[in-house]
Amino acid sequence: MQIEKKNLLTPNEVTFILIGIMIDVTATSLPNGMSPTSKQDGWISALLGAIYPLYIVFLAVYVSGKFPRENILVLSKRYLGKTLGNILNFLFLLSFFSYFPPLISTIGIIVRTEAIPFLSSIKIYVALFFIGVYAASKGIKVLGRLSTITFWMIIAIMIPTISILKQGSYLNISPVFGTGIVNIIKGSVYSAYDYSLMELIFLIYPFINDSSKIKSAALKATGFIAIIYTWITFITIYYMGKDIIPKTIWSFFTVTEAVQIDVVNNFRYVFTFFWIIIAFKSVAIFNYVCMFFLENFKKIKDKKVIYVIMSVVVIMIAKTYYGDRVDMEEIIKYTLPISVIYNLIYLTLIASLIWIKKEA
Amino acid sequence: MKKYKNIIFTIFLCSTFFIVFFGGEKMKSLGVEELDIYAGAGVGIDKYGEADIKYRVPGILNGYKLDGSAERVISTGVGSTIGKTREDRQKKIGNKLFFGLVKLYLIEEEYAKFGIRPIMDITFKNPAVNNDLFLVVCKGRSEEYFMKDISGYDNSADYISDMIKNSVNYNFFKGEYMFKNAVLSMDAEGKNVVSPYIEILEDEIKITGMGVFKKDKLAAILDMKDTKIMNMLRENKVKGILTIQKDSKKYINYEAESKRKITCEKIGDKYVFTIDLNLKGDIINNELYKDIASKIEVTEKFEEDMAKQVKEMCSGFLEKMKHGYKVDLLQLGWVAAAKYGRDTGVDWDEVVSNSDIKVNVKVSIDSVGRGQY
Repeated sequence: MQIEKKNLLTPNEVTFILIGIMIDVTATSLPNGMSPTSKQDGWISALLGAIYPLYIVFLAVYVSGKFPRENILVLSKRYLGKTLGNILNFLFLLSFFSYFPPLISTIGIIVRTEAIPFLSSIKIYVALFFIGVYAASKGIKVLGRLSTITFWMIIAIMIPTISILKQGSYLNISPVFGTGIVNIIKGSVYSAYDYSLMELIFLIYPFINDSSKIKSAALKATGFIAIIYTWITFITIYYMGKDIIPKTIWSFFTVTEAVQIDVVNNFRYVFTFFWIIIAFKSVAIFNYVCMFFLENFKKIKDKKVIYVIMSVVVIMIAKTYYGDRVDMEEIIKYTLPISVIYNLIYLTLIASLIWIKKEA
Repeated sequence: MKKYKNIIFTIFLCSTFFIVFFGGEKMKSLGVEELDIYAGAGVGIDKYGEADIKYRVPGILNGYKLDGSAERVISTGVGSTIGKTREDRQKKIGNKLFFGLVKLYLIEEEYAKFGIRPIMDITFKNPAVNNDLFLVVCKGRSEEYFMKDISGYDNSADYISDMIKNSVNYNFFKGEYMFKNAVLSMDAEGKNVVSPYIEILEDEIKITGMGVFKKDKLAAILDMKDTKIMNMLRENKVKGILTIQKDSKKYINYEAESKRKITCEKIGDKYVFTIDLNLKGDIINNELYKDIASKIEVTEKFEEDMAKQVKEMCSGFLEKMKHGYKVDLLQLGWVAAAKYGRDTGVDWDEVVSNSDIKVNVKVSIDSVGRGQY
């Protein structure tokens, strides 16, 4: 695949895109998932979960070192043959795709609960896709820039939450390690789900303009995500305590409510506003990724039509199967572990094949 | 055909956009004149028998007349659940009811004893409700408080919420008796909800103490003397006035800010709590100690006397708490749970009532003003 030089991504943009795909709206409910098992030590679990993206980065650095200009889809076809490679690539697409309808459904529910209850969910979905598809159709460089902007937005809305340190109490997080190592590790399995989609790096490393920087870019992204997730979990437990977290659905919103800034009446609305923009970016990246996969299977002449069809399909799926939160959780309970395990096996398989072939 | 493809595509996109956004259900936007914006609400119950309970939720708002002056309007909803009271209320009022900007919930004592979980839940579920609203327990029926005319205020809900907000200046009140704080402590292990208790005394609305909840039920009402000591021991960094008085002419007033630290130890099966209370403040009035501003011995004597008196007050209060109220008023269970593990299934009210609580008081003078008259 030949790409024009000016359309290549800088290492920083790669970092921001990786951060962009991992942080999506569900990060606000991250502490909820950990609180039943790891209780007040949930933030340690959040930190431990970073082992999963680190492993992916380790594989990616190895593979990109060998083939800096070919992405994983091409490699799998080369090493596994065209048919088997295509089947596995298609399953890889499905594992990505399984995150897509729940994502827009969650955005819809959050927007309707926290910001504008009078909008119907279909209106929100359509608005999401108009913007998301437009950004995606402009190519990876635009996504890189979009992710850069949203990265600074994330920083800007996370900094005010530091002031919560004054309002909570250290009594809520102690005794540290009180729940035992086993429970902490059990909790970290949950947080690993939120760290998923780091696999995107296998698709975008050919776009970087300096291949030697891929390692530092990916590690920076992982480090930043680990810090943000640990902070979200820590400050939520610190402010609310582990008994109150399960009472909320998106516990971090309750924390943002407590931020007191002069002039701003309620910081939660500011937070929600930026959070929705961050959600737009996730939708854009997902649109791009799905198109990227489809292009790999078959050369697509008219991208516009495919994008429209894709949007309609995703909206239909989101409306029918992921309509409300309980239905969604019921499906995610199965799709999440399956796609994480499949991604791990698939990527390890390709990487080890490359390693074996080189030996032989 | 190919030439028109782009145009057809654009038209298709535009029409989808318009159909989705302007079709379907009409978005209803109400003018502010069409809303009844409540300033405060009371929650009470009427018992007609063991199982027959009716909720009574009176709300107060400012009705504006044509000339711009405001008038107090009270409307009450009655129903067997809190949701039904809204339905009932809408039958009687001309506008759409809107609870988003409520500043105050007046919880009647009888309802507080019955359990405040339903009202907490209905408020918590709704993200549009102001979380900084105050929870106040009142004696008698909440309508009586709303009916009162307060000079300088359009309605008494504004007045009561201002009163609670500014209570922090004296009596060691913390001022954080809001809904959001209650949410954080109602079901948390070892913590409990406190809220100011108001009464109408001599035709005036007045804070006369503090109600302490056990989970969602009101467990104890403290009088003002106990409230002051409880606040001092329970909260960190609070302000109040302490007095040593010989007779009506010989006395000293000391305006102090507290710093409090609780440590917990477990000896055998028994917990031992140590509360270190550091008071630092100004002498605002002194007719008792001669030369307090100039002589170090006098200053030291005062500090000693004051520390002794505060310690006596505290130990008296703690005895009463352990044997009288039998509730963990100081959230000591929270401290113990943070050190010795959570979810052990113990009832902290009981454990604290059977444990040793020591209080160490240190008093120091920050300033004595510009001199002694």
